[in-house]
Amino acid sequence: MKSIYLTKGRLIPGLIIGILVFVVFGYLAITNPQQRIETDFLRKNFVWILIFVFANGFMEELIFRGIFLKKLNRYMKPVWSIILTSICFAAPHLTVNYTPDVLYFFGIVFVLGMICGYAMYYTRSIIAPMLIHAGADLLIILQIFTSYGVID
Amino acid sequence: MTKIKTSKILEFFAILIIMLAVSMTLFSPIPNNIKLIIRVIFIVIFFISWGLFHKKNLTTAKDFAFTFLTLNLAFLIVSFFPSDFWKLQMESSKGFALSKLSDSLIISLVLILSFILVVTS
Repeated sequence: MKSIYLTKGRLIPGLIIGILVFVVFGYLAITNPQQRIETDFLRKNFVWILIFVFANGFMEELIFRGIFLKKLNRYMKPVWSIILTSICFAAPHLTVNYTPDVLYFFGIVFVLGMICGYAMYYTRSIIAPMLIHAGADLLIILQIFTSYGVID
Repeated sequence: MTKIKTSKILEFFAILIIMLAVSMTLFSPIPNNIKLIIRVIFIVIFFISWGLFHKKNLTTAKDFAFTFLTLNLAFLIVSFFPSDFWKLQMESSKGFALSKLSDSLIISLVLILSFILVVTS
């Protein structure tokens, strides 16, 4: 499973980087002044929000980086592999409808892809990029839930 | 030297275009029946390429063909299990999360099992 980064790799640095970024993103998502979140709403939906971000984080990291990065690294320099996978990760996000400025969003997702790609390459594992991805998803999913509203 | 550089650049863009074409089918808002046709076409193309590269002993190309094949297979299988299949209420946070969990489990399982099968065979 090492070929698709489903391994513990550099576990301690991976966990430290991943959890740290996840907590920072989580804090930013909750304290964002543009999306006021009620404590009651968070308490009721906490588990479902976490299930969503971790399920999505794991799946997308496996699809866009896990199964490709090592193969691409055999073929080109790691920096080019990371750029290539980041473009492919950001491009499908051009079709999203939860943000008005898709090009700006593309840029943000591309940078996030570069960070996750480097985290996967450096820690040799899917754990850190999955946690970073899940953290970034918190910023989006909380906005979606609060903007469109969900049934508790 | 320039020839090698040019071929590397061409290879980079060839992989980029294939990866983009495959990944865009998951998220793009095109009708499901068209998505299904595209995926079946991709599966046939990558299956034939995989066999061809295997015969010609082109390891890297074979690995890429196999990766794209499994990815399309995972996308195809997951399309048979939409939120309606599980009777999930998509207006609720529970339905939203469980729908994503189902997609994630199916896609990840197909990819992981495919890679395990190929490594052990």
